[in-house]
Amino acid sequence: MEPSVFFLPDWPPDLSPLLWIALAVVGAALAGEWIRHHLGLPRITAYPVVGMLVAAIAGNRLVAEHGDWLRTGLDIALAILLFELGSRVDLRWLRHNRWLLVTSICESLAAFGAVFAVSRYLGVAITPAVLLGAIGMATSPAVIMRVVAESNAQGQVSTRLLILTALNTIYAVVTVHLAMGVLHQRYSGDWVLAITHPLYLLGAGLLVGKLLAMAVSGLHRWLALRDEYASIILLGLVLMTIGLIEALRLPVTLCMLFAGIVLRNGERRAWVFPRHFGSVGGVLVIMLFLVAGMQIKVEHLFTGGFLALVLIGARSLAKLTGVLLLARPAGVSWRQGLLLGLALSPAAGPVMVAAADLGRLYPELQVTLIPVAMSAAAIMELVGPVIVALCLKWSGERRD
Amino acid sequence: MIDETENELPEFSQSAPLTLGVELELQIIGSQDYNLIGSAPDLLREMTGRKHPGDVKPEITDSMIELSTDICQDYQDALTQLRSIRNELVHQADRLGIMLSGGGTHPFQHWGQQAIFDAPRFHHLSQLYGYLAKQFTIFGQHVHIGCACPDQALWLLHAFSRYIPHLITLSAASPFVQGIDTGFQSARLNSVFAFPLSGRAPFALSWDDFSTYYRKMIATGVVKSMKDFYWDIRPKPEFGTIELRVMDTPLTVERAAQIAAYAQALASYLLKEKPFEPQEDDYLVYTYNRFQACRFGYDGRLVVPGTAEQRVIRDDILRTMATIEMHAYDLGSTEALNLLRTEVLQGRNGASEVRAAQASEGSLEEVVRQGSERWAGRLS
Repeated sequence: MEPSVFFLPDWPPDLSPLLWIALAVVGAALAGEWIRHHLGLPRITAYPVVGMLVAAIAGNRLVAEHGDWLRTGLDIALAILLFELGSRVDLRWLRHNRWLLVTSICESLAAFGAVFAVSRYLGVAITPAVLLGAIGMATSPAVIMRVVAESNAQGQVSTRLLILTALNTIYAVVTVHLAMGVLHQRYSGDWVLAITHPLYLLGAGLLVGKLLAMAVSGLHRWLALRDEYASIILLGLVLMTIGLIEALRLPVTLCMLFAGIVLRNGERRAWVFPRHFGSVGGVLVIMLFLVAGMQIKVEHLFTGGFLALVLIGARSLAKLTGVLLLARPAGVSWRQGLLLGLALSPAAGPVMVAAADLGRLYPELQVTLIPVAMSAAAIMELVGPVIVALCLKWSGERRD
Repeated sequence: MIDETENELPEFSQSAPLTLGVELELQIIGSQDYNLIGSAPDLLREMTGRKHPGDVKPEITDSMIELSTDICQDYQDALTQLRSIRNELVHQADRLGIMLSGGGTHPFQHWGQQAIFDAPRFHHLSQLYGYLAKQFTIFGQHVHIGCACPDQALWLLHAFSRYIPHLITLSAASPFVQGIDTGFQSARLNSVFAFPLSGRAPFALSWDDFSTYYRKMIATGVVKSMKDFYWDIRPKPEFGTIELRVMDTPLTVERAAQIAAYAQALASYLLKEKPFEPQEDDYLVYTYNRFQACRFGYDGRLVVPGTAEQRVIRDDILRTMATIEMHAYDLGSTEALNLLRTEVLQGRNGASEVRAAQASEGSLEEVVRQGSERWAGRLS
């Protein structure tokens, strides 16, 4: 129907997806405050739920139409998170406490084994099962970083949680890419390709990480990176790095983690991640969790069905066992070991992205790998933050 | 324990004269942000069952820990014990990914963030003193000196009062509080003075008089035991010692042992030569002298009790060192005295080192990191 006056909008007015996203942001922020105030849980536990509900109401077009725009935003948020996570990994601690390193390897291998075994038992082919296992090793860096930061938690459980998460994410990314190498060999029969690809990813990833670390640490020496204005330089550097990473077709996860680790351990000088920069990232992270939630369809929670639940259970149990077995030699009490093991259960987002990429590369995996992984990830996306928050609360390390 | 009032002073135990005991309160620091971290329970758990001399105990907030030696005969004994406990503590801290440090204050911690260690006595103190208890997140060295009898202990206690500025200056290591350079060499003592029962002990030279005072104080209900007095020097009847409590925890165990040796030689000089008789009027200049030491360290001016003579604290320490040299020799602490003398001549103490580190690094986090390395003995 033509409007009678030219400056009046059509009726009913055309609500753009942007408005829906904005609504979702406000809704998520409010729900976050509500959850924090009434349930004493970190705000981020509310974001994915709100995202999922908004997506359910607004429909598919919401994410689809803004896919590229959102993906860039998410990459930035994730990159900053991983950079900070990496900068919290103190390699000297691993040298002083070998059992911590052994714990890390143990829990990752156990998780890999559990997920691999369950997938095999349920009839998934070997290569997709290896991929599932690799994805299962990683704990979600985003969930861990945000919940620890928001709880202002400090102590053995939270510090070890951060370091174990960084390590198992690295293992996972490396394994996924090794498995990709295998896939290359199987699908195209080219050995050279299969070997050089992961080597390139790792080597170049380290190099890019090193470059960013050098830039930031040089800058840090020159100006104190303490105020908001310095954060914009940092943000710019991270954006440049992401650009470089994309140009070189490298995994963001690996490069940013390496950058953080090199930054922290490259020199002995004290390094504290600038707090303002953390909060710039913090705002973006609301979006990250919201959008992660938007990508969950309610039916996702069920399509993976029983297999998804068994997967989650076996994986969590494996991680818990890995940590608990070595709790005392590694220097934590049984109770701390229990909470640490449980808190490692959130499944990783970035590796999910890798899995989705693989799904696009090899459509035949769409049927076996993707629905189960999506379902398990969806469930953990919603439940993971709550588990971590409760573990930190019970450990007595929360100080908010 | 806390609700029980000790109506009578405990019996003054026998202890060999001039034996030593050293207690050091340490900072527990997180390696993520170089701030204090509440890891005392973790550290204590990992320390149980480990072999080392002395003892390791919790303190009022759970980012503090206290180590103490067994009874030491001399400087070497104290040094060996301190190093051995330090090494075990540092080893466990390394396993836990945390750091330990000396120094009287943490340069940038905010007291509001500290949690009270979970024990009845500490919760009681926290309730009574409110924020003062958390502000008490400060770190001191206590030196016990064995006394043959209680009257000797009280005599020594009051004779020692005029050397309090020396001990403050030699140990001072707390220039920064809550991120700010206070201008003081020992800002830690300012926190101690906030307590109602801090300061000097009452002038009583016989144990009977002291017991009378104690009973009167108990009767007022203000105190429940000797632990409630936060005096600079207090008798410790259970140990048969006097306890010197004005020192900041130095940046290294070596410095802590040297300061203990200085106090021991001084005690030997006082007890054997009795160069003067302590008097109530000695205390007329006490708080002034103490302030000068806290604020200006070696450059401070003290007034010699009983006279109007002013001396620069540096000169007074050097002069005293010359006087007690033979006692130090007899006690086997010539090395300690020489090392300390070099520091005095160069005008160096913990406070000046912390300030120098901040001046060259421009980052209190880095100052803290270097401090923990120095404490661990990994930095000369």
